[in-house]
Parts: sequence; C-alpha cells; structure tokens
Amino acid sequence: MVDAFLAALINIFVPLNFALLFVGSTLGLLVGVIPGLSSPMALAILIPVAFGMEPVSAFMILIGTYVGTKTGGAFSAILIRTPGTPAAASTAMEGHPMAQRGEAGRAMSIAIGASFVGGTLSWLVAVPLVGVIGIYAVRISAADLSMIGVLALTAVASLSGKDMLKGLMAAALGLLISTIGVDELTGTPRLTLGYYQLFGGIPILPAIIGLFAIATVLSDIDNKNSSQKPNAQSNSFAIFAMVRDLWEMRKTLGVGTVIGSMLGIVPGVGSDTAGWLSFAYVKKRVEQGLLGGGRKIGEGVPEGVAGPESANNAVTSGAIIPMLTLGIPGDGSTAIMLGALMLFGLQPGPLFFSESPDVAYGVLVALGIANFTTLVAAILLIRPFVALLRINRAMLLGSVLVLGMVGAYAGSNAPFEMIIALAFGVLGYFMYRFSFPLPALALGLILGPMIESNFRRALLITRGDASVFLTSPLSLICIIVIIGIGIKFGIDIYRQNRRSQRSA
Amino acid sequence: MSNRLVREKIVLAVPIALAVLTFYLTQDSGSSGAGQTSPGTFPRLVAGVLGLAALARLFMPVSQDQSPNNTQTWGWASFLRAMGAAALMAIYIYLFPIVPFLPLTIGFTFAIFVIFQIRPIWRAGLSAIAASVLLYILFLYILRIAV
Repeated sequence: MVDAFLAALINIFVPLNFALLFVGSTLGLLVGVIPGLSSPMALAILIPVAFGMEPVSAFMILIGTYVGTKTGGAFSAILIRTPGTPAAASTAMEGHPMAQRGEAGRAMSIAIGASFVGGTLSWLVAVPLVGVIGIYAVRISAADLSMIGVLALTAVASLSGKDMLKGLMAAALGLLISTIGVDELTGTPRLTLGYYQLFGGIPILPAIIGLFAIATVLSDIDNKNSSQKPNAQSNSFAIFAMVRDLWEMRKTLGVGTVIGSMLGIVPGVGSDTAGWLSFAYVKKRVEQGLLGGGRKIGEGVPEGVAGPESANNAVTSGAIIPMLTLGIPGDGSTAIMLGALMLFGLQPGPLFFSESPDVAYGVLVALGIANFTTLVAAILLIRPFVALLRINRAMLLGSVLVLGMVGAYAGSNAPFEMIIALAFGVLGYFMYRFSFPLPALALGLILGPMIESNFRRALLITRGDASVFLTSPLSLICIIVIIGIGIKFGIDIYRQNRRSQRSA
Repeated sequence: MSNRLVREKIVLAVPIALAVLTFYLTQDSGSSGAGQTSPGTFPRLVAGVLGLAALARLFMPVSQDQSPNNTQTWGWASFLRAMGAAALMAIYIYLFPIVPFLPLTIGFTFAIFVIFQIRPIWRAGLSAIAASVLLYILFLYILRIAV
C-alpha cells in the first residue's frame, strides 16, 4: 500500500498531471464562484474532455474541479449573498455581513484558509482508513454488496430531498432505467422496445450530462439575473492575517472538519448539511458568549465563515473513500466520478486498489494535493474570480447547453448519445420542477448494474435461497438500517399529520 | 385542493404507468436454472417499488403535500422557454449529420442565446460565433474528435 501510495504521489508531480490538477482547481473555483453553475454540472461537461486522456491524468482535472468548486462557492456567498454552490449557503450567513462592514477580503481569506484546513485534515484522516476498509472490503460477499448498494440508495433517497417517497421513486426509476439493454447473465434484451441502440444499455455519460447540465440549465432559464456588482475595493488579501485568523479559530476549524469528515461518509448527506451543522455549532457557541468577540449572529462573526467552510470541504474525502473502496458514491459529484471510472473500464469496489492501484491511489493522492492547488489558485486569482461575478450568467448557461450537447456527442461520436442527453435533460427538468431529487436518479442509474449483478449472483450461489441476505451479518445490518429509515419516515408522517390536525 | 397539488397527483400517474408497462414488457422472460433469476425479476422488483411508492404518495394525506417549496413554482413563460430550448436541441440533433458543425453550432448557439434573452441581438450573434469557433477548435484540433 505504501509503495503504491508513494508511486501515485510521484506521478502527481509529473508536470502534465500537476498542471491538470491546477487547471482543474482553477476551473472548479471558477464554477463555484458563478451562481447557477454546479460541481456535478462542471464534472459532467468535463468528462468528454477528460475521456481523451490517460485515466490518471483525466482524474487530475476532475478531482481538482471537484475540490475547487467547494471553495469557490464561498466567494459569491460573501460578496453578493448568493452562494455559488448550495454548500456555501451557510457561509453567506456571516460572510456577507462581514463584507458589508468592509471585511470582504478577510472573510474570503478565512474561507480559503478554512477550506484548505478542512479538506487537508479530513484527507489525512481518510488515507489510513482506505487501508482498513480495503482489508475488510475483500471479504464482502455478493449479498453484502447488493444490500450496501440498496442502503446507499435508500439513504440518498431519504436525505437528498424533502420527501422520501419522491426520493425513493427517483432512485427506483434510476434502477429501472439501468436494467435497459441486454441482460448480462442470459443475453436476453430487456425493455429495449426493439431499438438496437439500446442493447448496450443506457450510456452513462450522456445521461449524466442530460441530468446535471441540460436539466439544470433548463430549470434555471428564468433565473438569469447575474450582474450583482461586488465591491471591488474590499477584496484585499493578506496571507499572514489569514494564518493568524485560522490559528485563533483552530477549535472551530477542528469541529467543522470532524463534522464534515463524518457526514461525508454517509451517502446523501452533502456538503450543505455539513456546513449548516457546523454553522449551528458556531451559533450555539456565540449565543453562549464563547465565540464572536461580543458580536451576535448575523453581525458578521468570522467563525461563522470558518466553521461551515472547513466542514463543507472536509466532506470531499469522506465522500470519495466509500466510492473507491465499495463503489458507493456519497453525492451527485462522486456519482459522476464513479461513472467516469466506469467509462474508463474500471470498477471501483473492494478489489479496486489491488486491480488498478495507479488510478485508485492516483485519485486518493490527487484529492489531498488538490486542496493545496486550490489554495494557491484561490490566492493568486482571487481578483479575477471576483470580477467573474459581473459576467452575464445567461450567456454562461446558454454555453453550458451547447457544450453539453456537443460533449454528449464527443463521448462516442454518435448522434444517438445526444438524443439520450436531451431525453435525460427533459426528464431531469420535469423531475426538478416536481422536486424529485436528481442525485437519487443518477445514483440508481450508476449503481443499478452493481446491485443487480450482485443480487442475482448471491441467489445463484445459494441456488435461489433468499435467506442469504439475512444470514450474512453485513447484509442483515444494512436491511435493519433500511427498515429503520422507513420506520423513521412513517413516524415523521404520523407526527406531521397529527400536528396539522391539531392546528386545523 | 390547489392546482399545484392536483398537478402533483396527476404526475404520479407516470411512475405507476411505467411500473405497469415494465410488468407487461417482462412477462415472457423465464428463469433458466436453479437459483438463476430470470432477466425480468430485477426490473419487476424495482418497478414494484416504484409503483408502490407512487401509490403511497398518491394516497398520502394532503397535509403532507403542503410543506413549503415542495414543488417548484410553475411559470408558463419559463416553461415554454425551456421547452423551446429543448425543441431547438432536438432540431440540432436532427440536423447534426446533415449540416456542417460550425455553421450549425453558430445557428444553434445564437438561437439559444436569443431564448436566454441576451440583448442586444448583435451581442448574442457575436458571442455565438466566438463560442462556436472555440468549441470547433476544442473538439476538432485539441480533442481530435471528428465533428
């Protein structure tokens, strides 16, 4: 493990790979800064570009972008109170009041530094965990793997939207779509309606582009107001002041990092939840008079920027580890990266680190170094990034649509893939309109083949004895947790109904 | 019941219909050995979950539906613009094998920018030409994809 890790570390510092990581971080910051552009959207558009590269190089740019967006979202949250990404919503609460009283530069430097500290500390904790999980992961049976997949889907379905049943429907729809094509065990075409283009199944790349790029743009078509002018005079940046601020807030950063790292592992709990939880901790401490230096919440408490930013960046490592070791992504962005790995013919899971150590360790190491490249890019390019907030967003969104269509074609030079992208774009648009969570659909689509093949393999091994799902301890735990989530949902509905009956 | 809630209930017919269609389309897929599940087993299992969840949502008390922001607000103008953009994409796909990439993409990008209300028109036109040329260079010369 150590040898492979060191080899990956050396490989990162190959000029091309390091440059791609830096470019990815810069792109991520750029995407994060502009409200309306998101991490999944950027990753979906980048995959066709990355597909022409070596897998390790391709993941440099993808990982850089993934990490960069987490930091970039804070800039617009602080300057114009419009978070560039949902994860930065909690940062706006105290960051914008800081900007209003002329401390925008300080707020942004705290955000950049806290993002670096959160991301790096969480990575340092996560790396040894990979080895531990890897040892146990190879002992996981087919029944366990299928139930872990179902648990991940259930968690995402219940946590990624306001309505668990809608989440469940979205996940089930994703699973159902994943079954389209020739059945790999029997060679029988399923649900293809006679279209030979569908025999190979629904291609992941155009589906992802449709869901996360085209659908998002179509849904955002009226929200084109972009030109909120940030105060250009207030962006001064001082590294020493940043370090001093971060040292003074070390406890808040530590708590934020722990919250983010732990929540990152849970599928469906995204960076935004981690940010809000960390903000809740800061708020409580300020109310107790232990933080804030006499300021109240809403008046621009610097810890209110540091806490959420460290938490939402710490999520990245937590979310990537289950994706690499178990093949279970934690959110939309990691689901897209899982899809990208599959496009390269790689299968993340228990054997990923032994079968493809160069890519697996490459992704892992890139995640850590990306925090550094994002820090450097953010410090160097803070002024141009702030100027980006003046760009006409309608033009950017229109360009995403064009890039999405051409990108879908570029995946395999087949116009049919553009049809798939458009179909998923329209599907995603309606799902968004009716508040069905898109990450649940994407996760179902991506995890579907893994869940089905392991489910059927488990039954094949036991000659059809379904009790295998109850006799394997890990599978049993997953089933108990799934039932627990269902019971909690039922109790929530019951309480809600009682409340509404009382108030009626 | 408000229009929004009626739309919510009506849209649930789609997953229910999908579940029924899946059961219909997989009815003749048989098992081929001990423990060997048929190709239709998994899609049917998933379709069952989909249909049951949709039915549960359909019969859920109205109070559950009244949570704030449960459904995005519908503006017909934005809906028509989104569908207009989707129709443009369909035309782009249809013409893709017929019309050369650069003029087609310039036209498509210009139309998209107009739908996104980029004004004045000359600005939309110039931006469309610049964006399309950049895309052309990126895909043809940098990524070497035959467009």
